[in-house]
Amino acid sequence: MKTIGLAFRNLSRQKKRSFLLGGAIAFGFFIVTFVDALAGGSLRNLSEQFSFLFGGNIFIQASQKDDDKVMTLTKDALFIEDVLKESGIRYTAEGKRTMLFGTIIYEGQKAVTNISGCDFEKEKRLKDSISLVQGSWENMQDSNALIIGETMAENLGIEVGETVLFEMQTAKDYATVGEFKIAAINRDPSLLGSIMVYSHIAYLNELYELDEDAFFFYTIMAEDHENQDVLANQLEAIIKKYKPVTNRLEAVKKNPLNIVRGINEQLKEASWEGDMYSVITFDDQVPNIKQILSIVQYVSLGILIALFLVIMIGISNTYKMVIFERIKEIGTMRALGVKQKEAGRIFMWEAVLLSLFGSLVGFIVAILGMKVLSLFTFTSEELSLFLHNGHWTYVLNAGSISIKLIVVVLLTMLAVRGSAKQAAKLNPAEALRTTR
Amino acid sequence: MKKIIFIVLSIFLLFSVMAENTPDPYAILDVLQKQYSYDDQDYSATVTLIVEKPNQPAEQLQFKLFQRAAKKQFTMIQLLPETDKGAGYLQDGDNLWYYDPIGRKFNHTSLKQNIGNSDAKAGDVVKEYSFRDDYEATSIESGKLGAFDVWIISLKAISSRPAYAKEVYYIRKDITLLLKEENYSANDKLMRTNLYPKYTKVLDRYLPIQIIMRDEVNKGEQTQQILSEISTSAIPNKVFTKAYLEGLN
Repeated sequence: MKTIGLAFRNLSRQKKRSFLLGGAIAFGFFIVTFVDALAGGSLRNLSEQFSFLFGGNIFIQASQKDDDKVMTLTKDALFIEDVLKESGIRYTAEGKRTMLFGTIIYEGQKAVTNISGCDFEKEKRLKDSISLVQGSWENMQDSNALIIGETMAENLGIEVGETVLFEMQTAKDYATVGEFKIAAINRDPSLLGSIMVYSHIAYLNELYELDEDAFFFYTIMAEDHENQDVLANQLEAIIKKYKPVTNRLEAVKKNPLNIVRGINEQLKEASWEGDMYSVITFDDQVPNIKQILSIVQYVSLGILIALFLVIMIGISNTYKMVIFERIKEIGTMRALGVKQKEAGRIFMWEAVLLSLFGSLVGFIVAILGMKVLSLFTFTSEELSLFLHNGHWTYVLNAGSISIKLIVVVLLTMLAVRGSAKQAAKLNPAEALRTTR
Repeated sequence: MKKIIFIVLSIFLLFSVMAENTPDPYAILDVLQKQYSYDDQDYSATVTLIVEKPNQPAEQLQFKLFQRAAKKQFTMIQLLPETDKGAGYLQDGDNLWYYDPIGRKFNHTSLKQNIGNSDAKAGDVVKEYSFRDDYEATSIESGKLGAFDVWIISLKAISSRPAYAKEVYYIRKDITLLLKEENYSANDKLMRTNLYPKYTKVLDRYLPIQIIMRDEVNKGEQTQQILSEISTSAIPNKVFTKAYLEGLN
């Protein structure tokens, strides 16, 4: 404790020098925390926007097998609702979706898109989240009503009340075309918004030649977005008690980079009759988002190490000078009975305190910086995918920050280690004789 | 009484004559299928697709097609445009791949996919379906198409192999030749019309060397498919391999 006190006193004695050294550490820590947190926030926003596009972050679907051909068609919504009830998972939205890929055609203009078939009466949250710039919800009374994004409307040169064609494939893979009436045009919340097109699930099912009550997948927007994996595994375990279900963990083991492929392989290999359920998370569908986050974290750790290698040289040189400055003081301490190890330990503690204070300052500045940045509204379409309502948001990952803090402390200790050893080895008599 | 017997007999005779004059649609379709199925020998040709879209210059795609129908094999190598040269399709049994020479990758594809930006599908070029297995003839009637007397046969797809749910064929009566084909969606929307204005005779069979595919959904868009350099000479086995496509680049 005395050693720590001495180390702290030494640091406060030379305020200017400690401020400069700590400042360098703070700068390094600020940069990596800022990049990490901002990247985390951006990817979470991207992930949430995609989840919104698909109607949720956990998907439950049933598949059937006919002559080795796997079809995905879900009918038993009641069973899924019972499973959700049993799980006790909290979610903010739920819905049945049929999603079809095709081309919207209007007077020679084309737009490739997905149309989400939804039940607007039941999906209240979806209805609330769609902000109409033209048309109204009353127009949605038409069975073939369609809501398109304003960018798409602009590109196609189309207005509310006009009719478009949608070229697509049916369940049996036949080419077909449906007529839709533009009921409303919604505001694009981001680049993704421009490809968010909604229609009534019943009409989309009719075009796809599905039963009216069938759908592709049941989706929920789990409140705990970060723990989708755990929740999906929980749902899978409940389904397993009643019906055949694919094994997510097995898919993760076999295909960690493409879990959906792993699940599809299971469906291809397995034999069953009736429905085989699968539970998939949004992260499973877009594993790249998690990968990008890991890459950003590794890169920022690399930047931190590179930055600190430079800072270490500065710290190391400064401490060589410090030894020279404090040589008489060390000699006196040693003459008064301070052991070799303790003399060295003072320097090591100085390094620890310096790195801890520097990191703390860097961390606080990073948070302040992000708070300030999040106050600004950005209207750039290119950035919109990564923003939340036009604002930057950030996510602080405790694990990643802890690792970086440990790295900073260790590197600073390494920089001071040579000087500490030198101080410990000093002969008290020689030290006291030394003149500056 | 005599009058009644006369009327009944007349109706019976009328129906008999009608029945005799309305042939079995499958019999006609069998003949048609034989016209362009080279099941017994290899077949190769140069396939040119001229894609026309409103307000755009015509685009030309060209492929060399090698087909061995008996083994459900074909290889189609792109020759034009220069930028896509070396790309191609390879079918071996139930597997169909598209080869990307830049990425040097084979990706699974379907005979129902359009070739490039055209209105032609790989399935249109190799015509692998069977009228008896893949369709149900829902009606046959006599009609006229231009100067020709034709049988108008309506078909409904019963397997997932055809690209369209319903099709109507206009087949010449005097020589069994397909003159026009209409492709409909399941909800009875006309999606594509194919016209067959030119035929050539190869080994006693008639082969359409020009097909005009009119896109009825995207008005003003059409693709002309022209066959040239048709040959029935034997094709080496290596042509129907992935290595062959890879080796070309």
